[in-house]
Amino acid sequence: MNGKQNLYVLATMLFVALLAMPAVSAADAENPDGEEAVADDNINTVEAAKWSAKGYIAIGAGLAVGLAGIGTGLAQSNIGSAAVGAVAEDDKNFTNGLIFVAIPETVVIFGLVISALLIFVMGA
Amino acid sequence: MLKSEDMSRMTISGHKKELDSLSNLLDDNQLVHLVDYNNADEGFKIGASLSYGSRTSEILVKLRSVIKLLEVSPNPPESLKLSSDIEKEISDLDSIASQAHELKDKQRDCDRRIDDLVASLDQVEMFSGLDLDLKYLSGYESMKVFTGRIGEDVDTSVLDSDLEIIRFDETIIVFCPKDDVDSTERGLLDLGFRSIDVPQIEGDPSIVESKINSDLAQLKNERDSIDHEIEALAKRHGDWLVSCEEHYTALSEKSSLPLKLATTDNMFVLDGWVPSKSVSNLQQALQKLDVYYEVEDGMESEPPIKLDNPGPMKPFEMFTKLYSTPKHWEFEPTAIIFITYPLFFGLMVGDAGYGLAYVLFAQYLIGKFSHSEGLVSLCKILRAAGFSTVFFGTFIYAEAFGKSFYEIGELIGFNSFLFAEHYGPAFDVPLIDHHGEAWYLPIHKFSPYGAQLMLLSSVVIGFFHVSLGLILGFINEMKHHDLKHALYAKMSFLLILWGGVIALVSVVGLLPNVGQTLGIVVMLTGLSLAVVGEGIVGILEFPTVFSNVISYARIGAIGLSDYGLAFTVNYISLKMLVPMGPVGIIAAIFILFIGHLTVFTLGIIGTGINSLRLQYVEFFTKFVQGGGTLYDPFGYNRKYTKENEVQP
Repeated sequence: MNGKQNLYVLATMLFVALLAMPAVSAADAENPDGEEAVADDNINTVEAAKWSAKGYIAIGAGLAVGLAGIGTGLAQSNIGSAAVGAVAEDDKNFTNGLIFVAIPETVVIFGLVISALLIFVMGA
Repeated sequence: MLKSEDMSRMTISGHKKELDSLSNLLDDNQLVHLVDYNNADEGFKIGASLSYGSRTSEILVKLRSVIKLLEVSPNPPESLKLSSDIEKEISDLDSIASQAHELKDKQRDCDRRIDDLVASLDQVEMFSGLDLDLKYLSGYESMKVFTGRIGEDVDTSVLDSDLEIIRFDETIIVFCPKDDVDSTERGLLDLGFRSIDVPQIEGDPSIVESKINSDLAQLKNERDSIDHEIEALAKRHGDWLVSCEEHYTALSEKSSLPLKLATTDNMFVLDGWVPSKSVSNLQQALQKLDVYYEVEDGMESEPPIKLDNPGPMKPFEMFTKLYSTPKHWEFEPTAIIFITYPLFFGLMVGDAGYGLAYVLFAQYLIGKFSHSEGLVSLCKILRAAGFSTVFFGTFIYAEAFGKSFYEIGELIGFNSFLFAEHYGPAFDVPLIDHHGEAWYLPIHKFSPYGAQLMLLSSVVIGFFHVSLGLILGFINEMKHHDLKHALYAKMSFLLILWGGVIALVSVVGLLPNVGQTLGIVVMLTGLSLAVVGEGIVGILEFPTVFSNVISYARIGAIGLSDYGLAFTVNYISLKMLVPMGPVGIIAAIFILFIGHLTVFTLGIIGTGINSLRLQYVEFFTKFVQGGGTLYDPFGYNRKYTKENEVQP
């Protein structure tokens, strides 16, 4: 296996672990003290489900911003290097360069809006 | 404001002998934007420079070469030099030039000798362990001497035992009879021998080495003193050279006037643009000359653009020009950026402390670089942005350097007015769940409601900003084309945007339900206009207005992240490090300084660029087409010199 594949596998494992996290931590919260917990099992289960839902929402929000940011970065890196080249050739290209570089930036703002919706609307 | 200045087209014609005085007059007034003659008409050709042109260029070439040789950098002007004095003193230029060339030659010679010495030093150092005069290493008839390097641990006993071999460190010297040269060389090469030439110097290596070293030191001293002399010469004559250069550049521009005119053997015709309000001044001045002139309104052709804004807005013209010079029928957006750029910047940073820092920083730079026009404009823009930041930071967010006024107030024991936990009347924001609590100013950025409010209000600002852009675009199209074009190109997207927003606002319950239908109808009307006007591209462009509006969410997002950075810096230093005792306090001061400096710089780079980007990408694209020619009147703007007599 080469380095890149290793990286993918590692990333996938991390991702899976991340997905399991809310459920696990919610289960932890479920049993703060053994005996008391058994007493009112139903309420505890509902509580736990709520917490794990919140955790998934938080992960989703993070992924929305993070992945959108990576996408924007990939797009901007290519456009940016081309723009710097164009500006080096002729200063007059500066504004156009700036505009072109700025175009994919909107993608990460979309990510931000989605995560804000997730947190403020779904998570409320 | 909002419109470039009116221009009138002017033609001046007359006898060529008037050209001298005409070029002086135009240079004095700096009013006429010349339209270059393109050599297209029969009987007219482009003129030749005025009589003093070639002499001026000669002097100019000499001046510039000396300025380059001496590496003179211009200082801010102290007093203006009179052009008559310069004309008198210019004879000194030759002696200064020869001094400069002489010094530069000496410097170059010195450098060459230093290089030579360094090279031979490298060679001699190889033999520094040798107790033998270097002259014995060459010049034999029956013997060949190999000198070079070889690995220290290489065993040379495999070579012919007749050879005389001297070794020390990595150096090897082999004395070899002429007959055995080939075999010895092969043997040596097999052992990894690398040949090095013997320096052509006589004497014991260590003595030679110390002599070279002392020579080198002496030469370096010499070189330093030459450098000092060059510096002194540059210092003595620098300002003079700069003002001379300016004077002759101005003269050279003046002498080049005929190159832009149509001329016959005896006559000339000048074609140009003059700001309409200055026409009468120019006419009055022209009466002194024996020329014929004619003025027409001529706005139907393409006049050059002279941006016309009152003082405080002037620096923002830079942003307009950087985008593209608007055409004369277009809205000139400087006055709008004057409001929106600082507004966005202030909303993003929203911190009284940083705002004040920006104002002071900009003010300091303005004082320091007063002679650099571009930098001063940029700093004035930063200053305006700083004032707006102070305003929002004080009244809306009530915070300085990431600390709320309330926290600061607790420290100094003053918790009224802006330093109170809340001030002002309670208010209510639709769409955001208040959980039954009343809201007051200031807005705390890191409370969930604060973050929601910031994001929501930035999108609302975006909606109005984009709408304004589309409305301006609509008016532009009306002026330039007709109502039909304006409807297709601009009203369509305005309707799409407004329809979409009406529908959305009704869905969340702020408008009665009928709004949903109404909004969709309006949106579809807009869409059909766009499709009729632009075809399939209209459908493709349909979502861009919404993505443009959403893009304004960055105002709130950057506001939050800037605050987050400042908050983190404060938390690390004040909450975590300070309790650790004296070492912690020192570290805390360090972190505070570096951290806030970072946020300050990011504010200029990140926030400054993003605020500009919102203007350029989301706003300007709606109504500025650009491509106009900037008004650039004939004549040179002197900074270091003053003209006081008519040219020779």
